[in-house]
Amino acid sequence: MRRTLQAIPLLLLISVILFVILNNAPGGPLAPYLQNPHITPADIARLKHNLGLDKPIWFRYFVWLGHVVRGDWGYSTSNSEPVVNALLDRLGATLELMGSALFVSIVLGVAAGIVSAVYRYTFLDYFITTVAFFGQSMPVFWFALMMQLLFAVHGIPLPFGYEIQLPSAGIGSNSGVFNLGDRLVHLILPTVVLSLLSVALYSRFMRSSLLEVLGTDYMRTAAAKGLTFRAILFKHGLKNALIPVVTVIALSAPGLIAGAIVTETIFAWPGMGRLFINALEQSDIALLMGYLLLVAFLVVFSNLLAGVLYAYLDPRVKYD
Amino acid sequence: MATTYPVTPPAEPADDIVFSRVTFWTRLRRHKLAMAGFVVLALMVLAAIFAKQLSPFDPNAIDPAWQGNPLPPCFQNSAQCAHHLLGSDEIGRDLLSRLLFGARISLTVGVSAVLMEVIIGTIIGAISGYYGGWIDFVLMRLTDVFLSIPLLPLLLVLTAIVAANSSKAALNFGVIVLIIGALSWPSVARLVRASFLSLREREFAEAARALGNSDARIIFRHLLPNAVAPIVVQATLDVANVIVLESTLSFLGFGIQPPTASWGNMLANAQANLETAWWAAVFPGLAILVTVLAINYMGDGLRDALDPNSR
Repeated sequence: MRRTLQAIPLLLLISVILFVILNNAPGGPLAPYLQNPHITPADIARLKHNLGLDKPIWFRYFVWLGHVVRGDWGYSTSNSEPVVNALLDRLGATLELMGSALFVSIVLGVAAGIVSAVYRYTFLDYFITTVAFFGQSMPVFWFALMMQLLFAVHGIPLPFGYEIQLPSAGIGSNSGVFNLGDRLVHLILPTVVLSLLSVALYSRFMRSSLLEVLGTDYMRTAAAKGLTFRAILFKHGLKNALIPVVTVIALSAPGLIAGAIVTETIFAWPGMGRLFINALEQSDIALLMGYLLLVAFLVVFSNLLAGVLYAYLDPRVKYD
Repeated sequence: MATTYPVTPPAEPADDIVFSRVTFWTRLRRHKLAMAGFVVLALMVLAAIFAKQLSPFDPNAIDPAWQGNPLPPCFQNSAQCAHHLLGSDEIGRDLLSRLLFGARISLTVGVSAVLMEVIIGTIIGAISGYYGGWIDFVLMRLTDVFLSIPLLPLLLVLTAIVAANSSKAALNFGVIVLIIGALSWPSVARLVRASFLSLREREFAEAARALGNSDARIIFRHLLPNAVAPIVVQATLDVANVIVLESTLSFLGFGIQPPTASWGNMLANAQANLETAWWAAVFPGLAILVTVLAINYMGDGLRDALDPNSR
């Protein structure tokens, strides 16, 4: 409870710093108008007055905060709609992508980590750790380009005589009709790209965590009782090894946001990341502010979640 | 009869990094991948330094033989082996030359931004850990804030603001380094603070204080040398991170601006030309991957050599 309450001042502080950075930036909130030759300095002055930009910054912050709390996040100049609507419209697509990437990363990452730890120092282990190292060193956007090159442009020829050619752009071939199969096929490439980094990260964590558990006394005791390795691994080993991994997953999930910006841009995915890049190009300060605020909120929330989960899974840890 | 007093056991030596040059080098040399990474990186640095001498063409010059289509690389068209070893980009500029000059940008951005990050992070972390109390509280809350805003979007917003305010041409090397360096210090600050919290309680720190040394002298001459190992490891890995960050920014159009070649902006147009010029998409990314991989393996080896207890 105490930690939950601590999140509130942190969020307020985040909002103060974001507000100061974005409003003190030369040009500030009126940046999109400054380059417009039809808008005279007199117009700028009038706009400033009407929008309250001539008031001191702390005063503007509190006015802005009041609006934000009531759900008014400003007006997006690049989309000609309120920021909240613009963000909410794209939230679904982003969650769809991030959710499937998270699912794939957890399944693949945890499985690879287990295999790597159980077959420690074998070829399989070296193979998995090397692939994970590559995954962590690869720029996401380049991996996306390579996937497009292999699967969408050329099509990968298979020994069975046909090519896999995957669609790479858009959320569906026919946007009017909902078709689950079509949706899933379009999800494949972006999901693979977005999950690469976290698969690598989770597998490395899972490996070291399981190795640590495999060396403990209670595992040796279980083996001494005559249990099979399989039983020990699944009944005692994994339960304990997963605890730190769950925390890492909760802590690193917001890391998908940065990856989603790149992935959505490359695959023309109509989510918040692409909205954000559009807003950047049009200097839509209100939308940028809203996006950063939402993202920071997500980070703080997942940090809290990590703490709660850890305390729940490991009764020795007290959550206060 | 003498009363027995409870004897306090001698204080355990604090669990810090015992740094010995000899064991460090033997450990590092045993780490084969780290050595391989070091060699690859050394070659990259040499290539970047001698980019001018090594590159067959002016990186920004358009080949007169270019007729609208990107020129293929040597192994696709042997006629090119004498000219463009790796082909040309979509407007006829030599890919190899641009890669070599791109190495300059990527490596110098990486090293300079990390240098800045380490200086800021060390100062903030040292002050926070050494003084503690409300100073520590304030600085760490500030650190929390910057750790709660994902770096890539924040960097993009700042570069976009700079671009909107004058023009994208304003996003030169210095501005990019400044923005990345000014925002990525929190991880270093936390690391240094954690070392300082334990170091300041040690006897040698107390002795230095008792001798009347100034705070600044204690921090920089006595405590900091003992906190160097984790900083070096973090800084090495961060060079790799910054290289990826810079290339991502440049790829999205908010980093190093063309015509200056950077590995990221060379890929910016590659997507549109994937069908005609696969080489323009493959080679710059390969350069990033190899460099980042080399640095990461080096950082891994350094960590094992400097601090074998971690991980």
